[in-house]
Amino acid sequence: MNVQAGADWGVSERAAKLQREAFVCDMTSPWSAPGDPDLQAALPGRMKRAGFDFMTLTVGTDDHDPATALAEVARNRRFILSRPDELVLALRADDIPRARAEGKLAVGLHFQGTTPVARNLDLVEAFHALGIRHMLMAYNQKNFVADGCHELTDCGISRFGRSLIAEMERVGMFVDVAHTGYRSSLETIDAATGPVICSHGNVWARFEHPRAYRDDQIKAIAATGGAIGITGLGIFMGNNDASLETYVAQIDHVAQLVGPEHVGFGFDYIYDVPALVAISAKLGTKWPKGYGYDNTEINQVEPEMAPRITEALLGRGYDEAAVGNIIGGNWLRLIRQVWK
Amino acid sequence: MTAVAEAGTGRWQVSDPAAALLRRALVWDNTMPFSDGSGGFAAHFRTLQRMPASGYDCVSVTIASDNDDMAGAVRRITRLRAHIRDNADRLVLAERADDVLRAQAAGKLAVVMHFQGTLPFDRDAGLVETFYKLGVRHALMAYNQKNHVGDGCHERTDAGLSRFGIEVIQAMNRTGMVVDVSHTGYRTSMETMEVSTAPVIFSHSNPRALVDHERNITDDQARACAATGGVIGLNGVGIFLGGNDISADTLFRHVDYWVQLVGIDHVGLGLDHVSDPAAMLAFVQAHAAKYPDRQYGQAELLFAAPEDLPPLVEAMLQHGYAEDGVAKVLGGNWLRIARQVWQ
Repeated sequence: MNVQAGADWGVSERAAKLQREAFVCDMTSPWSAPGDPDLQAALPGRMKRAGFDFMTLTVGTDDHDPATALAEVARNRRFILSRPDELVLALRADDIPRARAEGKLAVGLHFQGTTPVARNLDLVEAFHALGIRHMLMAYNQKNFVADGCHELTDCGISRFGRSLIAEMERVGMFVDVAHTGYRSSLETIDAATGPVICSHGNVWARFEHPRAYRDDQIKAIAATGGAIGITGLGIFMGNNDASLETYVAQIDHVAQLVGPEHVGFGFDYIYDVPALVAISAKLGTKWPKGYGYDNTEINQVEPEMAPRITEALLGRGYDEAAVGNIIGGNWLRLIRQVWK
Repeated sequence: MTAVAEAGTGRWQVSDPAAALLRRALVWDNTMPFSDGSGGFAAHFRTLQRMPASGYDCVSVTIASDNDDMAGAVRRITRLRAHIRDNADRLVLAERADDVLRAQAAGKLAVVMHFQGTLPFDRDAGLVETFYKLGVRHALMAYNQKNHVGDGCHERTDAGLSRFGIEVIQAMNRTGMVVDVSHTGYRTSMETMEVSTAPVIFSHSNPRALVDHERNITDDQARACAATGGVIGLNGVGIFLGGNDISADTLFRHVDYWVQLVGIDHVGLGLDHVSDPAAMLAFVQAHAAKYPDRQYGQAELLFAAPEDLPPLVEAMLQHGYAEDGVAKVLGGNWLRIARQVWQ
């Protein structure tokens, strides 16, 4: 992957330099969503050209059981491993600097949900061995572990959920509360002994959507040492508003609330919006009506906007160290701390 | 009646009226565990063979549960259907209410299938109709633990139904599959009874007022069930009956509590007889999230058996129950539910 970093970013030299030198990380690509395979395959290259050093692919959700998740993991391991000139499968923290030194993109794997392990704790270690480095507790709906954020109920985590969290921490997998309901997220944080992340979510104080996080949740995540990745989906940030200013304002809210060490990117970039909306509009128990999921023109922060986000954060007065943390340093710190 | 059943009658050691009633009445036990954890197919097939000698005409077996996914449930159903086909001289797969009466008239045992849980439906309410076609006639919402539908009775949370849970209940109502809330948490059970437009059953649940175990249900749950037109099945598990006591007196005390509370039209049998108690104990001890120690910390689990039914009939008659009332408890009430709900 030949990257003339900064050549066409259209930002100041100060911002371009930081974008080149910082480790830029994104914590969520909804990879398993349906869509045009060519658009999908093009995404890692787009991320690299925008200055990213690490991205992580959703290779299983609460729609998968162990067998179907295994097939999805295997298919995407092959996708990564068959592109050795461009991609590095990220299994350890050191794979990220190594990938960049080689001019490649480090690519991690995760699940959006816990149904891939069914009720079998032994599968946590097995999926970790295959590269899964985070799992969120419940995707929008109720599952064996917790309530999702769009569920009718808002209850805590199950007995199995508590055992699962302990096992995830033991093997070195991030405990993620994205898409998880309010009480379940707080009980997850309570049950965990190490950092808890929200791989991709938004800020309730700026726009009240079930996928957004209240200030007390953000504070609780920060108190574990964890971080929240901000999604770039317009339907979660306002009236389909995915402008640079709105996105940066979301980051700024978290940074002002709990410090710039606890916020990062979790773009949740949809590589084929029409294909996803065609499905989501039909699945009202997972994506209830009235929350923007049937919008066929969902606006989102494009990966190519990343350098301008860096510039905008510098423009808001954050120094190089703080911006470097926000755009990827925080995730790299946490990866070094949690991954095994 | 078969020769085996006649021989069995001689061993009942009950009064002539009790024996005559047991022979005459339709006897339908709505819960027999059929999992590998409770003994495996071979052991369960042997139990089926024993049942007619105790007057049984119909038994509903737990062909799959929250331990099984869709494919596993299909495999287990296929296995049982083949067994019934291979033993057509003594077993009948009951798909309509009349099949049960035909089996009784022919001296055969009618076998019904149910799920203890909703995991075989995965997250696709369309599978309800598919499994109904394969013979599944009731399903309980959540077995002890949280699942995609709601909370089980041993869960640390007590929340209501999920959006998917409501879809499942609507599909069951539409299809004719009976909605069951045994093993289900309090709020999930109460919300289920609000949502369902057809009678809801507790296939195998005893009164919490007599024994304070989380598997037993409160008076308001029982009343809500009866208000839907539903039926509560007497459970024969010793720790739910209290003190591992499976005597006829204790079984009667539990039946009588329900009869006094909700009336004789709303009580049936769901004995939950386990073919291999030692296997079940090992399974329980190996699955603490499903069976919390504080509720199952026993060196031995005792289960009432089909053979314990004749003394229970005797006890009901001795306590002044009318014969037609006893007949309702033995099976008439489950038959009413089947006629009303099955399609």
